[in-house]
Amino acid sequence: MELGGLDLSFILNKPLLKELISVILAVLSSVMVGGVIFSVSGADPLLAYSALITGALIGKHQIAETIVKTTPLLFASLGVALAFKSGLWNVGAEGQIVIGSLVAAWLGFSIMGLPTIIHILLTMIFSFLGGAMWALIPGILKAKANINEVLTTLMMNYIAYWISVYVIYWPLDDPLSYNPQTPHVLPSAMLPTLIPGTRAHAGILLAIVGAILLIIMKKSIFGYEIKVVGANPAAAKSAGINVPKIILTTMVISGGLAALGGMTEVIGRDLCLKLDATLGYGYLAVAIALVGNLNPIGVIFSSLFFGALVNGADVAYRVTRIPAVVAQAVAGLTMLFVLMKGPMLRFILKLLTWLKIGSRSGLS
Amino acid sequence: MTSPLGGLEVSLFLNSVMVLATPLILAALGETISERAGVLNIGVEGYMLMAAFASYAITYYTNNLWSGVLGGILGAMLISILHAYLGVFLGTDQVVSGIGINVFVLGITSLWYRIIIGTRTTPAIPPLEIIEIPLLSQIPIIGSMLFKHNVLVYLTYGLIPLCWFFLFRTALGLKVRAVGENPLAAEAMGVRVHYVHFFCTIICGALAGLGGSFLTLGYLQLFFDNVTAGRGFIALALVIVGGWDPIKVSLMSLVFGGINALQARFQAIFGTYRGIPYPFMLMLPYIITLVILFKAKNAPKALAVPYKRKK
Amino acid sequence: MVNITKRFPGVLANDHIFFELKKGEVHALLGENGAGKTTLMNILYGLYEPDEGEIYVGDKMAQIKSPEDALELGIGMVHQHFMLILPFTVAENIALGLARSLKDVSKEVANLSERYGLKIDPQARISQLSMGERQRVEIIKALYRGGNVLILDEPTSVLTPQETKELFKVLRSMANEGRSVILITHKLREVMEVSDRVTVLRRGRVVATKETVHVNEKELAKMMVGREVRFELARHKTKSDSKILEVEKISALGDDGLAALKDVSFCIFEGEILGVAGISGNGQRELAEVIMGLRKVMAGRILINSKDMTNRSPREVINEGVGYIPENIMMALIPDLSVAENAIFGKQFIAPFITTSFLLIGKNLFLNYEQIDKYAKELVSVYDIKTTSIEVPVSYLSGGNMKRLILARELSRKPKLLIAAYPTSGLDISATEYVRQKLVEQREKGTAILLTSEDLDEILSLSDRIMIMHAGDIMGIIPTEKANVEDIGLMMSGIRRA
Repeated sequence: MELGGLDLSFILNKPLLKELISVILAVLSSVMVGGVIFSVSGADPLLAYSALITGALIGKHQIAETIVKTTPLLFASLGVALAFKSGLWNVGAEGQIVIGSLVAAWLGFSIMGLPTIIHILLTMIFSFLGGAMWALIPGILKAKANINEVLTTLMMNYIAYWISVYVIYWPLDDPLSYNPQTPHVLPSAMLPTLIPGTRAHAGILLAIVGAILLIIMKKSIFGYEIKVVGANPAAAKSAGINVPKIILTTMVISGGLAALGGMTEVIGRDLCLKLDATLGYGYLAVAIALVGNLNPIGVIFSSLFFGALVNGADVAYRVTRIPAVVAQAVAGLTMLFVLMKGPMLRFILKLLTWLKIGSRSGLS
Repeated sequence: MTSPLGGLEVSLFLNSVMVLATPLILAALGETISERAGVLNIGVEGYMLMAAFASYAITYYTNNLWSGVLGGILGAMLISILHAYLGVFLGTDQVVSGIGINVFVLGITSLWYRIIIGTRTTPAIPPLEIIEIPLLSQIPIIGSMLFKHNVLVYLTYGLIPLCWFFLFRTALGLKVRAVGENPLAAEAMGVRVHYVHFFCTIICGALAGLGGSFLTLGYLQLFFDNVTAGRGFIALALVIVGGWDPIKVSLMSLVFGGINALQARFQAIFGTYRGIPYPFMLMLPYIITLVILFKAKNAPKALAVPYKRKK
Repeated sequence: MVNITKRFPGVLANDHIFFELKKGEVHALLGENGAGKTTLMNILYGLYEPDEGEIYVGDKMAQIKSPEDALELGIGMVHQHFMLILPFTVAENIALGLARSLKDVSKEVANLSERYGLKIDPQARISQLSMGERQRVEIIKALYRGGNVLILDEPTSVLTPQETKELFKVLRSMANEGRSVILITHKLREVMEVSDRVTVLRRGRVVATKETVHVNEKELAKMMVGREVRFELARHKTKSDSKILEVEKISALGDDGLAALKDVSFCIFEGEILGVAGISGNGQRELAEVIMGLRKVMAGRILINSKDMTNRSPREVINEGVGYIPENIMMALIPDLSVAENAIFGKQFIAPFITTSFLLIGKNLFLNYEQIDKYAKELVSVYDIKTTSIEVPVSYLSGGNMKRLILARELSRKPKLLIAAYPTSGLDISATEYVRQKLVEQREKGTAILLTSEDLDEILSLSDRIMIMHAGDIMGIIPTEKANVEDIGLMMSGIRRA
């Protein structure tokens, strides 16, 4: 098909290009529909979007805040993407994040007299382990008894949430504050500030290191075996792959990564654990992972986008009075559109052909 | 503190069991039909939530409970149509599209709730009238458990055998089950697999919608973010435990409702000061669901496999 | 069917085909695998739509867009792979999609079964029926809806020689009644035995349509293939005493929890091909799986190279020098991965495909892409696999080339034991010859080969000894020179033992 003389059908033959364009299309369409949602909810979409964009990206504080919002999302979606790639529908990031935040909150204020590096390292290790354990339970159920991991991880989310309610109100309740939160973490546990004068902390660097590690892992035997298991677990067995081992390892890493996302909120952003601090992050991570096409680089961009969206929505609230939850709705919408990306691309290409007076060339 | 074994207490308790079980039964019935056709519908939670919100919002505006109920069902069905479109015609993976629907519905209901009600205290809605069936409601214990409810519960009583009959005694039900076992064979017999998937998803939407409407209008009388709190997912587990049989599934839901009621009762008795903090009570349903998930046998063969028709 | 043309990506399956069916005739549709026979009939049955051409039933043009339409016109089809719902009863399967009560359907099924000598109980569950019985259900299903035209796709692949004779009797009586039968087959003997006319397809085109009395097998073969076909493969005898594989009293369960292998014992010597004859579904797949470590052995021992490999992991079995060509291509290849990535499938933990260190991280964790690419390119050139590059997804390859890749991969490892399950199924004649040749070559190199095949002729021409399986039992192991088709047929049905 031609557009102004340019034959467009080649797009369908280059998989990478096709993916990129489809994702961009999906994001654009969700932005458009989001605009509709804005106007239906009683606000001027242009105003809303400009507030969103300026609120997220213009200015030192704004960018810093976007980075802050992106950090936990990046960690969690790296984990979710890994799990999805191996065919495991780990929707338990929400709970794994909570567990990570609980561990970090406790270790953050309870161990005194440690040098910062040790304290942070220790917190990282145990937060990771906490999330890993949390994901391991559904992992074992899946590996041994083939129990649907979607349901099990979902249940773990609710359980983790109520555990956090208990912990924050009872044992770890901060006696110095009226709000439901844990005590302030010790200075030795705090992540260093990245941009002075803002909340932006080094957590984002840790997350990027995580992403790099995952990219390297793709070249490993483990990475290959994950791909095979994700494509066809039965065939993987014939390839000499120990499928249960892959399932468990993947779940462990996935849960651990998500937990680190929870940790960064505690020792990086709030410096304590507030109730509902990470609400909804896990499900956003699922959307992010899909939009990022399940590979680490895509996920980095995708989480930046959503981080900006979430941050911008907060700011847009002050201008348009549309509640910040609109970010969740738009996120869900984007996820749905990304699911439709293939057919959407074909439809748009056909539409363009129909509109332009170009000639059609063999598009079957 | 009154003894928990007093007569009045028992009947009230049993009554509450039925109330708690009804949304689960409805969602589980819908999901049973859907899964019998091979569609693993994770979006059922989203359908219920949309119905819960829509029914609440419409009743709030129109002051008419029945338009609320219908509105809720319609809202859920619209969502299910969107979901069916994604799964059936675009061939999206069922699990992923279900999660997408849930995330979307959660976001949009929370958004609209805030816009409509704002941060004022949630206005309560007048409850649906309780109709006591004469004679039957006088039967000790069972009478109070089964026959002192609002109309929606009675409707549910009828829906249970209806679903069973549909699946196992009608030609259409045979088609549904065939599609769930071997869609290729069914297609070769002239059954339109895509239409069956679509139809079953929408039925699931309608039933879950009724469940969601009941949740807000018949039980809670109010709405808040994520009011369904995973009931849809629990229904998924109940379908597995109930062996994809509407009658058994409903019984399992009843048992679960009983456990819920017990948990609420213990909470009231032991409370925060008597040792067990309430979060542990509230996490009980989810732990129990995990435990019962060990029993997944006899699934329809083609469950969760998207059917691609060769052209 | 006039001017029927059907294209699939990369393949012209049907090329302006003209096919005519007369009333009351048995018309054979002959061609090798991939010639387009099934595609053509799927079009007639409404499962596919043709890109060009029309279909006329009686004298009227017919629009067949779905099996429903075909059934309404009285066209029924019995597919090679049965389309039956296993947990349902016979009556339920046949009643599917109809607005009749189960009782009425059961009665009519009983009638039809009487009339045509196709004995079947309407209330039996399909899962309890044998393959032959299931086929009868399929035929009744097709006849039930009116059945003026009955299409059978390779029906004898699941039947013993005796059951085949029965089936042909049924077909003839149907034809005598005025119904028409289209028999899709690649077996020349069947064409001669039962058909009135035969249409030969080759590469999607009609070569000729002839009255069966006017042709013989040799002519048909030539038309089918386009050249003289050799039926005999030269066989050299090199006897060795070293047992590569020893299976001692193996018992194992199938997917349904019932016994799939019962007390099976045999051995394969170095440089020998042991052919497994038997109708598929009698334990052959499970046998391959227990040897590979993909299925648990309940009792007995498996020795490979005299080492006990009972219930070991597939990785250990692979490391012992065992190659596996599974029945289902999708178990040996991953469609979305590249050719290169598939080339190391099953070997991703073996040198030289791994690097001992990568970015200072040691310990054999990473893949050596240089070596992998080199290996893949070698395979492609030595085994003549047609692909544009080794980077493309393996799904871009044709079925035949995919099988070549699998073959190349398994053979190039110089396996001591090769398990080949239906290695030539779905391949055209030249690919089939190539595979058979390679198997024989491998045998000359000393590999022990366990060969399973549906094609008795193939087993007879390739194997040194033949093992007949029935219901998980070994009915006999006989040297090929002493093999007699009648006896083998009886053993395949479980009636006799060697």
